[in-house]
Amino acid sequence: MAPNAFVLDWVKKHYLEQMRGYVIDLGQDGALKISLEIGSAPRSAAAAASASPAPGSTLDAEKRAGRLPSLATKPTTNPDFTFGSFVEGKSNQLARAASMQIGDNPGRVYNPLFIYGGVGLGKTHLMHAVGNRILRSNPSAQVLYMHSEGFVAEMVKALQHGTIDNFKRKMRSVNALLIDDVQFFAGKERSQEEFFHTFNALFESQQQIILTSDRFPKEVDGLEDRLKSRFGWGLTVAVEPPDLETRVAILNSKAQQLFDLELPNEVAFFIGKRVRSNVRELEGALRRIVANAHFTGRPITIEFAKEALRDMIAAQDKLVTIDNIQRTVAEYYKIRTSDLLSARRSRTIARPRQVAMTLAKELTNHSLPEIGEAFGGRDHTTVLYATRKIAELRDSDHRVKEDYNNLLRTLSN
Amino acid sequence: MTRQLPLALTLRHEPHLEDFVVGRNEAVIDALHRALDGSGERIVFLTGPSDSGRSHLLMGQCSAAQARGLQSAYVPLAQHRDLAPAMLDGLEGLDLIAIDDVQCAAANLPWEQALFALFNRCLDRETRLLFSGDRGPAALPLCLPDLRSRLASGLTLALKPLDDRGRLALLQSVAARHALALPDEVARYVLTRSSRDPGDLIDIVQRLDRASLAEQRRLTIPFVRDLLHQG
Repeated sequence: MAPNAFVLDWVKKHYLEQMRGYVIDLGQDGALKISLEIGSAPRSAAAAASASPAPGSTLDAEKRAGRLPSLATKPTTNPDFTFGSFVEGKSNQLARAASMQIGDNPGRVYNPLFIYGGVGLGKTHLMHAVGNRILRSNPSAQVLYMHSEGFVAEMVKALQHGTIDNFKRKMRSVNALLIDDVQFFAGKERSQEEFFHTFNALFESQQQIILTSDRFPKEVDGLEDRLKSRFGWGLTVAVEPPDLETRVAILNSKAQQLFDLELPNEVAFFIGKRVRSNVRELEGALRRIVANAHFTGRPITIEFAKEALRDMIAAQDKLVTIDNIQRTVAEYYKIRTSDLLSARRSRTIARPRQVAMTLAKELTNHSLPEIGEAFGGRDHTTVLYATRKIAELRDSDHRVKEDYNNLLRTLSN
Repeated sequence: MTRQLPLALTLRHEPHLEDFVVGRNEAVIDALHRALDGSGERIVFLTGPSDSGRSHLLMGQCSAAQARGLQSAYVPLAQHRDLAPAMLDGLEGLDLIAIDDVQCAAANLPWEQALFALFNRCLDRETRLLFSGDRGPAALPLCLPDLRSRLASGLTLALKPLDDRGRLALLQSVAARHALALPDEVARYVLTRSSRDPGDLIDIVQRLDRASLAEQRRLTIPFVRDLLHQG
């Protein structure tokens, strides 16, 4: 039994002759036959006759089809992802508030809800939380969560097996359809076509649609315009990278949820300051510290956390230098690094310089005088002014906010 | 004495966690055991340079899973040119998937997409995922930030290189596997006069084994010295 067609072909190509040889050697006069097929051995038998660790193995019969379980019997949302376990901060409060309203009143308030933002910032969590809230108030509601890749894979399978009508019926009969990472529909025309019709059917019958993506609908490359425009019909909300206080709150919440652990506040602040990119990486850092503490039996202190995350911190420090920040910012704004260091004060140069100074303050441990010195020998008060200005603009100017977040993400990864 | 021709056979050794020379990597072994018995992290990413024993640990974990009646697959991405991303289809139904050398799939979009999709399919299941790479998820040159952040969400552990005591233990362990008596002083002699890279040390023991068999001699310092001088 092979888990998929590739492994089946691979075994045929590489081992079938050899297997035939063994069968002949056994001399059973045709009593033994080799049969290769896609499927799985029963679990008990597999324990006795499990294959050696080679590409592929057997699969559990229930699981092998990879199809979604029946909607009527098993929810597709993750019950751990609720609004209660979602940490609210300035970076996500609008998305959270809109999601809660939809959870209370699906198909009526914002349809579709389009949540966009960088990776690991909680878009999927919010989506599941809406689904779970809908199910809480109406347990018989048909809520279907799918990653866009899953939608494509299931559609392809339905086409191959001649069951596309069942697929269409299933997609169009739900009360809430939650599709994650719609940017992965890019370039898949047949899937986009099918999704377009699904969207229309659900929208017209006032069933809730929630979508997530890594960017604003109009900026998703490779999507048909008619889809992009529909994605913007309801409410589009961004999820931003969390600020330090929110990162600390997330760490405390994760420590409690995952490990039933009270994380010392100074340690949470230490991790929060060092891991800025996204929530998944915060979680990874926390897991590493807890695993080390569990193994060594040592208490979790800042020193211990430093030691556990040493290589992660070293790699980040290597990447985030003032030089690197200047290069990255110059490249982003398509200016020269020397412009950032020059005396020029035109807006096209001064704004990127202020952004770069702010990033240097946020991402490195250099003092303000050192940062000023690195920017063409400027005074530390200039750096202070730059950081205040950018903080102000991030609240009032969408473009500055977007640029800053993009640069922060690039440098933090 | 006439020279005996050794058969052109190499001992095929299936790696086990028990015969991994642990050195300063006790926490890694602990994490692997706990991943299998369900008391630890389900998603583990091991980093370390080549010859740090990553593949040994991944295959060893698959063997340990099988011994418990669990179903597993070992996917060596170093051979990705002979494989196809479609081989990952359906693997989420297993109990353990060990994906070795993730860096080989980096910057290869079809493989990255297949890994990303596999990861997503495993999320709401109990499938244990064990990855290895020559560097951590944050430093891999991946095209998909989505894949990077998912890989980084698990427990990442760096394999620490063996110190001299560990290297001696490695020499002894490989020798024992070949049923070869390698006295302590000879092992120390090898260690002070040859490459200290674990992969090279394993090769040297294999050479010593063949030479000892061919010459029908025990491993003594003079014999080993001659052999090392032959290069």
